[in-house]
Formats: sequence, structure tokens, C-alpha cells
Amino acid sequence: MFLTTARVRKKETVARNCFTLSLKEEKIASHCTPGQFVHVRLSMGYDPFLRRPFSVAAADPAEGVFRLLIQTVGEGTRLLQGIQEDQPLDCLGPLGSGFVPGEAPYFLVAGGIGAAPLLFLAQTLSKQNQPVRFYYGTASEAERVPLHAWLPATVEQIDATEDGSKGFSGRVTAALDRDILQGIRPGQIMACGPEAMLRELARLNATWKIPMQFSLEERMACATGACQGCAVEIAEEAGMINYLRVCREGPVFEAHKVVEFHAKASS
Amino acid sequence: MQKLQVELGSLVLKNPFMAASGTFGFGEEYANIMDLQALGALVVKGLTLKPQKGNKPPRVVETPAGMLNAIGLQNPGLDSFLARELPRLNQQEIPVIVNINGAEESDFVTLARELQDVPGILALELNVSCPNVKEGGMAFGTSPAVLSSLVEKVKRVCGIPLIVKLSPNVTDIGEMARAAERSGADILSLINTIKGMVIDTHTARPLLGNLTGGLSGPAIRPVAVRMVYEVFQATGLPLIGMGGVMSLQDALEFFMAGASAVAVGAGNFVAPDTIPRLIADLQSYLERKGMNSPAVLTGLAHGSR
Repeated sequence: MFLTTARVRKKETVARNCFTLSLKEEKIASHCTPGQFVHVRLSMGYDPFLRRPFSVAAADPAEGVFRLLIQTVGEGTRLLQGIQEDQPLDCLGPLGSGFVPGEAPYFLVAGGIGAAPLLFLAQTLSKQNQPVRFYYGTASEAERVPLHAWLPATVEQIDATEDGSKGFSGRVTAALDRDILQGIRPGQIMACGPEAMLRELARLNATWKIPMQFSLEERMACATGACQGCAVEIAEEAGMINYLRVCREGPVFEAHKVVEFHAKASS
Repeated sequence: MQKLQVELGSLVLKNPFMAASGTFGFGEEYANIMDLQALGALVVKGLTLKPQKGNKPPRVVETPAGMLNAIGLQNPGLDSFLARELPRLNQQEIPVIVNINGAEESDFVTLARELQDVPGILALELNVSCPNVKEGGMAFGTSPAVLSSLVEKVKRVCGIPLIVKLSPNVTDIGEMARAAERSGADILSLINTIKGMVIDTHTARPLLGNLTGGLSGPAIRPVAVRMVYEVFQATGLPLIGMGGVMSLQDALEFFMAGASAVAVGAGNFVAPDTIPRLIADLQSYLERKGMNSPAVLTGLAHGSR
């Protein structure tokens, strides 16, 4: 983990309410792994007060550049959208525990902005010649980030929109369920997206029984593990249920250990 | 070089800047971005006899110029602290103050007895002001009689400096300070967080899992400075001031109001290098002003008393 100043190399709007930042910072670019995040200070004033966590969406150690994919949802991200090329950005990172290799083939399931950590993962797995399918769901076509600019040609992309404006018509989880029922089966699922999507994956996996990892989101203060603010209930070995830190033991957890999705999925 | 050393009674710190309890864990988290030996003291995460699971999430929420937290004293308990955390802190020669908590008087007394002669612990901080636990916590710090009784019993078994951390959630903080002083407190630290609430307007329910939380950050600084000012007049005890310190300017307000040392809390989350920066800035401030010790600043706002 480094407390460092990155410089904005490039800012680009890529979809409705969605932009990318390419940031020059060698230490973060060369140390981060898929699933990790950086904690970004948005203002030198006190409003907004806290930093914001963003998953690393790509990293190029040779260039010393990493990329963030950001959706403008509130005051903080709107402020960040106003940053100009060449300006400094105070970053703490890389932070957290990322995705753990599993069994190929890998199916990555992204809901909306949840694509960010999975893009980095897809790039890394492809470099290791692992077969990857990338399921990408959004509400409509207007929200879609042009992932082909990020994804290696070997990665097969499956599109889903809830309004049917692009690809499979319906939820991305239904697209995945259709494929698995037809015998297109992964060795490992890695997912990131809205809570409802993760909950549905947990429910469907009661039938599929495939190893699955989730990248979770929680309100954070320090993002280093010190404050214990971003707690999530995790069922550990020997039936113990404890609060673990999304910023430290996570953000990636094995899906079957995340208590909240199980309790409600089975009821 | 000016000497930054300060003395709070028999507690000697190499500089007046401390990390506030609950904002620096057990030091491990920030070890690779700063030299923890540079801290005046590290007040470790609130400790209880037995491990505590903590409160239901969400536990933190941002507020204007601050945040609410309701962690609920999640900690590994006394045995694990002594076996795992303290040896590591001692090995790195980090000045440690242990913040102790309990549901009953006997919990505090047992913790104080077990910890007071353990090498490497400079002082104990009695947490009678946590707004986020159902048992004990703030209940010990909002009635002078209850506070007196607790401080007296803990003091009896505690051979090292005893700090009492005061709650701002009282009508007259001077009265609480006097009660702590009468019962044997060596040092007072203030303020703990101010009890608050945020409503989630989508669900029409309080946002935090614990419903209420403790407010910290620059939003509470004027309240904290006022309380340090009042307690300085109410007692003769050395004071540790805290509440929204982000810069030397903020720390100077606390010194001038009457603090001998200053703790940084939520500021660590926003700028993890706050304490090293304060140390360097105080150093150059004292040189510029021709002052030979931070102690010169303490209580300046009161004029000649």
C-alpha cells in the first residue's frame, strides 16, 4: 500500500454517466492485482470528507499507468469527473485482497459498473492463456461501456440488457443460467455488480454448484482495515460467523461464505 | 531543532501528537506508509476482556465535514491483544496507550489490573464515552457519581497514568471533569464522538445498523475546542484534546484552549500522513515563533489566569 500522487493522463467519457481515468503512478500500476482497489481523495476541503474506493480496471506496469472506470452517482464522483488531464490525484493503494485463481474456464459476470474489477481480471487471465467468457449486463444500451476496447480478442463477450436494446433480453443472470442449462459450464465464476444480481447468482448457484467469488461493496472510511467500518458477515471454517473487513480480507470473498446472500436466498 | 517532548504529569511523550483510539487499529494497518515510532503515542483500538463481534453494518456514513461511526468496539479481547498485538508493537518500539472498555465496573478493574504492569504500555485510557455499545460505554461517563465510583476503583489497581476519556454528550463537561479529578484521574482526554443519526430517505429508516453513531471530523471541532477550554478552567489536570484535527492550525486551537497533547482521529482516514505532517509543522512553527516547547502554547487562550 502506497500513499501517493497519481497524475491524470487521460479522461474519457465512455457511456452515459460513466468515465475512465488513466492515471500515471508506477508503484500502484506495478503492484496491483485484479480485485484490488485504490482509495481516492476527492477534495482538499472537507466536503466530501471521506475518500472513495474504486476498483482498478486495468494496469500496465511497463507504462506505469493504471485505469479506473467510474460511474457518476453522487456528489463525490461528480466532483471527480471535473478533474482535468495532467492534474494530480491523491491515491492510497493498492488495497484489499483480490480474486483467487480457480479452475478454468472462467465465467466473469458483471452488472453495470461492476465490470471494473472484472476487466482487469479478464486481461490478466487472458495473458495466462485461460479461457474467459465475460457476461455483461446493464439496464439498456446507453449505459454500456464499449468493453471491446478493454477486453482481449480471445475473451468471449455475452451481452444482456434488461430492456432488450442489446444482446440477451433480460437480466445477465438469466443469460448465464440459460448457458449453464445448455451445458456451457464454467469451472469458476467471478462476479461484481448490484446486490440484487449477487443475490440472484447465490440463489441460482444452489442448483449450479459452481465455485464462485464475489467482489463486494460497503461504505468505507479508512480502507486500510484500521477502522473496521466496512464490516460484512462471513461464515468462516468451523461454522463461526464473524465480521470481516471488505477493505482488507475482501473485497473479494467466496460467495458461499457471504452470510447475507445465503440467509435471504434460502428463505 | 526544538524539542517537541511534552509531559502530562508523569506521562512523557516525545511529541504531543497521538493517534486516537479506533482510528489506527493496532498500528499494523498504517505501518508501511509511516514510521509508527514517530507517534507521540498510539492509542490502540478499544479493548474489552472478551472478544467483541461489533455492530451490524452499515457502520459508517459520511456527513458534512465529518462522519458517523458505530463500530461497536469490535476487538479481539485481552488475551489475544497480549499474545499477538502487544509483542509486535513492543518489538517496533511504538509508544502504546491502551483504551479499555467494559459493561461493568469489574470489567474495567480486571483489565486495568492485567494491563498496568505489562511492559511497553505507557498509560491506560478509560473509555467511559463510547456512544455505540448497549452496555457500559457512555453510561459510565454521563453521571458524575457513576464516573467517580468507576475511576476510584480502577485507580486503586492501576500503577501507571490513568487517562479518563470524557463524553461530550453531557450538559456540563466541567462537572464530569471535576468528578474524574476528585476520584484520581491523572489525565483527561476529550472529546469522544457526539451521538448522531442519519436517516436513509429511500428506506425511511436510520441508515446505520446501530441506528445511532458517533460524529467525528472537522464538523465537531468547535464543540471540542469549547469543551477543552471549559475543562481547562474546571480542573488542574493535563488534557489531551481531540475533535476534527486535520492541520497544525486546528491543533493550535486545542493547545491554546488548554490541551497539552492532541489526538488525530477521523483525519487519519482522509490523510494517513496527518500526524507526521503535524509533527513537522509544529517543529517549524515553534522555531519561527522562538518558542522552546509546545508546553508554552497550552492554555494561551485563557490569558493570564
